Parts: sequence; C-alpha cells; structure tokens
Amino acid sequence: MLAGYDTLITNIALAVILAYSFHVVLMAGQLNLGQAGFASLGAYISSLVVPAEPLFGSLSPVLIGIPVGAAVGAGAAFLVGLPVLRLRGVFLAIGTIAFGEMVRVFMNNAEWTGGAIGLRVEKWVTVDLAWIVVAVLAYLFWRLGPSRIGRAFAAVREDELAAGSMGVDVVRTRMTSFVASGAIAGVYGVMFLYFFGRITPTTFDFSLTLGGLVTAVLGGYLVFFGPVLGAGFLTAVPEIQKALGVEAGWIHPFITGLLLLAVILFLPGGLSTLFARMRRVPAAPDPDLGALDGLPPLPDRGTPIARVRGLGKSYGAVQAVREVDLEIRSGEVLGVIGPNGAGKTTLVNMISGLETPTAGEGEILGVALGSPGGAHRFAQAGLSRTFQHSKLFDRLTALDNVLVGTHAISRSTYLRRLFWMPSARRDERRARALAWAQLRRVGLAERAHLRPSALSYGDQRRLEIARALAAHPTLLILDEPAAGMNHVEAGELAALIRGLAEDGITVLFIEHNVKMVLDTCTRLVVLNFGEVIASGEPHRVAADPKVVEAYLGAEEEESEHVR
Amino acid sequence: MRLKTSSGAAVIAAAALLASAACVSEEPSSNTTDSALSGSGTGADCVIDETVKIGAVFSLTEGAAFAGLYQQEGLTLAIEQLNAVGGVQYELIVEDDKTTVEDSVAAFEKLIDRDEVSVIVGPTLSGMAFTTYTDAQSAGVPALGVSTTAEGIPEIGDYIFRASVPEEVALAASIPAAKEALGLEKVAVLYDSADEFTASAFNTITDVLNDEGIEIVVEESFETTDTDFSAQLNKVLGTEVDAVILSALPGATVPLVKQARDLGVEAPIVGGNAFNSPVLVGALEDASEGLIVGGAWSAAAETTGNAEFIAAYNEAYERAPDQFAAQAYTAGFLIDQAVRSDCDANREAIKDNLGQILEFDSILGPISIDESGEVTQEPFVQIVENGAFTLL
Repeated sequence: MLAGYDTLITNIALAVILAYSFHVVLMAGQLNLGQAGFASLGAYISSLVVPAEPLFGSLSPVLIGIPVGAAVGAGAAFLVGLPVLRLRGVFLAIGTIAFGEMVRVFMNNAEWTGGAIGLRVEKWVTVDLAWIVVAVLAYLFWRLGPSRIGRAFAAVREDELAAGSMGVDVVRTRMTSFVASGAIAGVYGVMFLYFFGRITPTTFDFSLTLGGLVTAVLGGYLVFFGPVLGAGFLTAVPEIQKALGVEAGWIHPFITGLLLLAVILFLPGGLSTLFARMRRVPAAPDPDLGALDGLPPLPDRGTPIARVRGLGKSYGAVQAVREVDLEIRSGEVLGVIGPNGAGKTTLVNMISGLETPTAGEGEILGVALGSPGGAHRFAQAGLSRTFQHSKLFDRLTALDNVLVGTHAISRSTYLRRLFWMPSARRDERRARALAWAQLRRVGLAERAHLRPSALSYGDQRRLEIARALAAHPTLLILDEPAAGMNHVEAGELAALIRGLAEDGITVLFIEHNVKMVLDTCTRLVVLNFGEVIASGEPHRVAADPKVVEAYLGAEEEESEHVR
Repeated sequence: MRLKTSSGAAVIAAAALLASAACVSEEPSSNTTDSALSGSGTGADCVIDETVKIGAVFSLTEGAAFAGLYQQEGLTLAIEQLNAVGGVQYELIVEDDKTTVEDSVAAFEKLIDRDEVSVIVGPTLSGMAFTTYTDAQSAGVPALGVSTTAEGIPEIGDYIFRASVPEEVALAASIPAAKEALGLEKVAVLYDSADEFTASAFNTITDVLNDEGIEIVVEESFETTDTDFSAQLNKVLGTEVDAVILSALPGATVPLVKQARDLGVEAPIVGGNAFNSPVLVGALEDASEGLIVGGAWSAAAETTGNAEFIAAYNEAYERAPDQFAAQAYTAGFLIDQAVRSDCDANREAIKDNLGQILEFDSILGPISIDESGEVTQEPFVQIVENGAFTLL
C-alpha cells in the first residue's frame, strides 16, 4: 500500500509528533523552545536500552524505546523546569534554547554518542507505527480539551493572576505542560532515530525547534488536531507546487513562506481557527438544581472565617497599609471604602494571597497569610475574587471563563476521561451545570458563547462575578464591581449582592459608589493612608466626622450621600 | 450499554492494529530485471529501446544549495549531451532534499519505488548519504556520490560508489606540489577542529608534512562557526613560515584568509576543496592572490573535453562552472560508460559495471572506480594568479 510514499507519510507523522510537543506548552502559554534538547536526550538514551532484536520474535523493539524516550524527556524537562520555569515569555524561550544548545554540545563531545559522526541503528519504525503514535497523541489531546486540567492550561495561558485566584495551581500547571512537552519531544527523538536509522548531534539543532514551533503555531491550539493541520499544510504546499510544475529553487520556500504569513495574519489562531469557527453555540441545559445540591454547606452565620492582626504592607519607604485589624464573620457584607490610594486594593490583595504582607499576621479560611505557596490555596479554601480591572480570559467564551471558576470545587477529570469513565462525564456535567447556573444568576445566559471582548463593560464585570461565584465561595471579594456601571446597572448589582448574602455567602467589597455601599453593606470599614479610621454600622460610620473629612470631603455633600 | 460495546470493539480494533503495526516484517528487496532496459551492441554502438531513468538528489534549497545548484546544472548538461549522442536515451529526475535528512530519505524513496530509476546520483552532503545510502543499498539501487567525501561512504555497501576525491587526498597532493614550487621548510597549520572532515584532513596533513620533511612551526585550531581568527593568526605572524596550510569549510575560509592578509600574513596559503570555487575567489577579491588549492577539478586543466565543458556550461547557465558542477557532469558520463559497457541499464548491470571503470578519460582526468566503490583520481593543484586559477 502506498509504496514509495512511506517516507513522505512518515515525515508528516514525525512533524506532527514534534508539533504536539509545542502544542502542549502553547496551550498553557509557555514559550518552551528546549524540545530539541529533550528529543536528543530521548533518542540517545533510548539507543542504549532498545534491544537489537525484535521482541518476542516479531514486535518492534521501538515499543521499548518509546516509553524510555518519554520518561527521559519528561525527567529532563522536570529538572530543567525547576530553575527555568521561574522565567516567562521571551526569557523562558532563551533559557530553554540554551538548554537545547547545551545538550547538542554535550552529545557532540561525549564518547558514547559517537560524537559528530553520530549513531547508527536498525530502522524499526514503520509508517503505521508512526501514525499510531500520532493517533494516541491526538486522542490524549482530544480528551484533554474539555477537562479540568485542559481548562487550567487555557486559564494560565490567558492570565496567570486570574487563574491563580480561581484556584488553579499556576506553578504546577506550567510544570505539567512543560513535562508533557519534554515527554512528547523525547518520543519524537526515539521515532526519528529508529525511522531514519541515524542521528548526529546536529539532527537536533535549533532549526528543528523552529520547524516544530512553526508547525504548531500554524496549526493552532484551538482544536486538538492543530498539529496535524500544520504538518499537513507544510507538507502539502511543496508537494502541490511540485505537482503544478513549479521548479524547485528559491520559489518553493518563498511561496510556502508567503502562505505561512497569510495564515498568521488572517487566522491568528492558526488553521485551527477555521475549525473552531464551525463549533456550535453551546445550548443552555435545563436548570439542574441537583448539581447544586452536592455542594458543601457554607459556614453558619456569624462564624469567624477570617482574621487579620496588625497587617501592614510597605513598598520601600511607602507604607501602603499599616496596622490593620479586621475580623470577617460569615454572612456579612463588608464594605471597604476610602479615598484613592488609601490601600484598599493592597489590603484585599493580601487577604486573597496575591501579595505577601510585610507586617502582621492573619488567617483566611484556615490559610495563614504569608505562608509559602500560591494564591490558589486561598481559592481552594473558599475565597473567590474579582479584580479592579477585569481579568477575564480573553480568548475563552463567557461559558468557558465561568467553567474555570469551578476549578476549585471539581475533581480532576482528565485521566477518567481517557477511559470514558461515567463518573468523569458526571463531573463535567456538574461543572457545566454550576457554570450555567452562575451565568443565569448574573443574567448572561444568552451571551454564554461570546468572548469577553464582545460584551459590554457592565457585562464583563458581571461575567467576572459569575466566574468568582462558580467557585462556590465562602468569602467573595469584589474590587470595585460597579466601576463604570450606570446607576441602573449598579442598582441591579446591589440587588445581586444582597441576594448572595441571603444565600449565606460572605461578601467583602471595595466600592466608590457610596449609595450602593450603604444600600448593601452590613458593616463598613474606612481606610485612609493605609489605616483604618472607622468601622462599624454603615450609616453611623458614614456620619463619622473623620470619615466625612477624609473621604467625603466637603460637609454639604454628606446630606446628598447619606440619606 | 451501547457505549460499552462500541468502545470495547474500538479497543479490540485498536489493539489489533497496534499489534500488526508494531510487527517488524523483513521484506526481501525485489529486484526485477526489465529486458527492455538491456539492448544490443556494446560501447558506442549500444542501443537500448527504453528510456533509462537516472535519479538525482541534490540540496537545491537551504544550507547546501551553494553546491546543489551547480551539481544539478552540471548533471543536466551531461545528460543533454549524452542524449544528443543517440543509442541510449536518458531521463533525468532531480529531487531537492532541502538540505534535510527527512527530505533526502523521502526523495530516495520516491526515486527508488515510484520512479523506479536505474541509478541515483547524489546526495549533496555526506551527512545525508549515511542515511540514504543504506536505503539504496537495501533496495539494490546503485548510487553514485559526487560530493560525498566523508570517510566510510563506499563501505556502506556494494551498491554505493563515489566519483568525488576525499578532501584529504586533495590536500595531501597540494603539499608536495607546493613544496616543489615554493621550497617549503617551515609551515603553520590551521584547521577546523569541530568539523569531522576537516579534523580528519588535519591528520593527513601532518602525516604528509612529516613524510616531506617539512616542519610544523605553528599548529592552531578553530571552530566552524568562529568569525574572529586574530588570536591564531597573530601566532602565525610571530614566526617566519613559508606557507600556511588551512583545512576549513567555505564559511570560515573567507573571513580567515581576509583577516590573515589584513593582519599582514604574507605567506602563501594552501587549502583544499573549499577554495576550489570561482565564487570564493570573487568573495576574497585581492586576498585570494597566491592561494594554493588542491581539488578534484581545475578550470585550467587541459583534460579531455574540459574546455568544451566550460564553454557549454557558460552558454547554458551564463556562469562559470565550479568543481561541484564538474564532478556531477562527470558522473553522467561515468554512468553512461557503465550502461554501455554491457549495453544494459538494469540496476544490477550498472552496479557491476560502475565498479569496473578503469582510467575513464573525463574532464577530471583519468578516473577509476573500483568494486569497493572508491574513486581513484589525480588531484589538481592550482594557484590563484591575477584572480584566476592556474595549474601549479
């Protein structure tokens, strides 16, 4: 079958495998360019263990090499990741390129690798085997997409800060994608070695990395088969040119480059954009109240859930927050007000684990402030928040944004999805039901399929609240939720917040709209120059002369606000 | 329930597929003989009815295109001239390997299985030949290298031949010639230690120098990608040497020679194949004066048909040929010789006869290929004078 095309077809498969090792890091927004190094390690080390004779008489010895290559690539990626994953963006790219170069130079100088002359082995990889590996990878990525870890990848890619606040362990997610990339690159190295039968250190040079990256970006990460699209395109274009009688020479790469440019310009998500556009608009399921039943009960009204003492934060000589004592009890709606620069956002950032306090101590839902670890620990303990400037996941639909919110209260589904276990399906259905319930609650069910950029400003703020609510929070922190809303929208928002309080959710919110604060809060804290200057029953606090002076400014405005 | 049965079936199907694909099957290479490819008569009278297909794999794009394009032109020219002779008609199928192993292997497979060529010329680089020639060998297709000078290429198998003199042979020949012309006693040796071919050539150089009784005063190495050679050249400046012997790839040759002349190194520079190109002389401009070059071909050589070759090449491609073009051109005639000697263009016959080419009169001078596939040819030693190659 297809005699004379074996190599061509296998080359496509190999390109796909390599592209998948980029696909997985691009999904999580990590610009890892160390694949050549992982592939090289996988190939060279597997050559030490792959037997020279077929297994059990007829099985390809590469069946041993593939897991070895994957393990070597994953292990190397883990070790390299420990220091390198502190870097981001272009710095991560440079760090990983340096690793690839290190491996190449090492292999060039080591004795057992055959140096520059390289290794020669039997050719054990057949075209079928190569495509089976592709099929397995495609399957793994197909099942990854709508799983909890798949959503975590997307969330980290879009906004690490917001992802962490939604309970996604950012460090671990980045490492997972990095290690997966190393494993796939290791498999690629093994497949390459045993298909061509020979490698030299320069086989795994920077141009290999570049080829894989181009294939992955061209294919795009919006669909699981993006790498197949990319490799197919890059193989088909020269072949079609040849079939059309275009002479080889500079024209070939030129036309290929031109088409590549066109795709990147007009399809920012690569070729996968074409397929992602064909996706159906998700239909809202019937309200499934059963899904909400299984949620853990919120703490009883009045239970202390958070306490901070002597909390302070200084940036050099600037004291943003000082000596703040605060206790939050379940069921409260606590408003934090104060003039611009009073330290309100710094305070909630400390409470939600995004910033480490420089003084004082505290415990939020059982998690100690300042303890090592990321913001996700607070989220997993039941704290959920929005941001002063919306931090939505721009390339995800509204529904997918809210689904990320369910991260903290759902179980990992990926492994169970691989085996089609009904419990995984149940868990995913439950997550979707929770997400839809919150979208309905904020009135965005009709716009669930839109991206945040297509929503109005007020809708974006409400979407962020829905995302925060999807985590089933004990404590919900809203940082200026009504900013930019007109008074009708703000009124609806106030009603929503009161409704949340009735459901037992504790709300802490920063707001400048004093009317809204007075309408909704059960308690008010006023900050000025980083210090608490008043706290207590809202109307009494608002009438406090210190507050009037610090925050409300002129006395005649008081009557207008406090009514 | 339905899900279970269907997924169960899928698992079984996948397992079966996996099991079958993971199997290793040893297919015997089927080499059928086509009687239409063997004709009547011998030598010049040979007539073969069917068109003989010759495949060629060259690096026409990317890294090694500087050589591959000349090779394509040289071989094409040879085939055109051979077809004009009559009796045997050739069809040349050229594939571009884009200077990658993947495409090189794919190109060999296409030529072997789809085009079913009788013989393959190329590939351009030894690095690819190590992979592709094992395929040609196991498929039983003769392959003739025209620039694959690395050690160990003919040893891949009995179907593998080359018409390209290794670098070390060319360099080794230039040293006695230079000694005779310039009276060398003390020399400096500079070589690229990162490249396997130049590094192995360095070993040959030291052996030849010892045999000739020439003293090595300075011995310095550098790496393929280096661009600054002042440290090594200053050591040369500090001594009085009669010549500088250089084993380098074209990339390092140009800056090294230029820097040597700029720094005031006036001794003649002796080099190998990398010097043997009009492009290099053009790039070096005045710095090329006095370079001594050992190579497989010389534009100045009065070998059979050389002047005609250069004239025809200039007419066809509007540029002067280089050594790559000349060797590829010669390959066409060597194949023709092998086909005509038994008047048989089947793969087996070409293989048998390529290994018995003895003192074939070519533009490279008398050239022989033995059964092991290795070439024997007298290299040419030239010196650049007034911007042109002159035989030393």
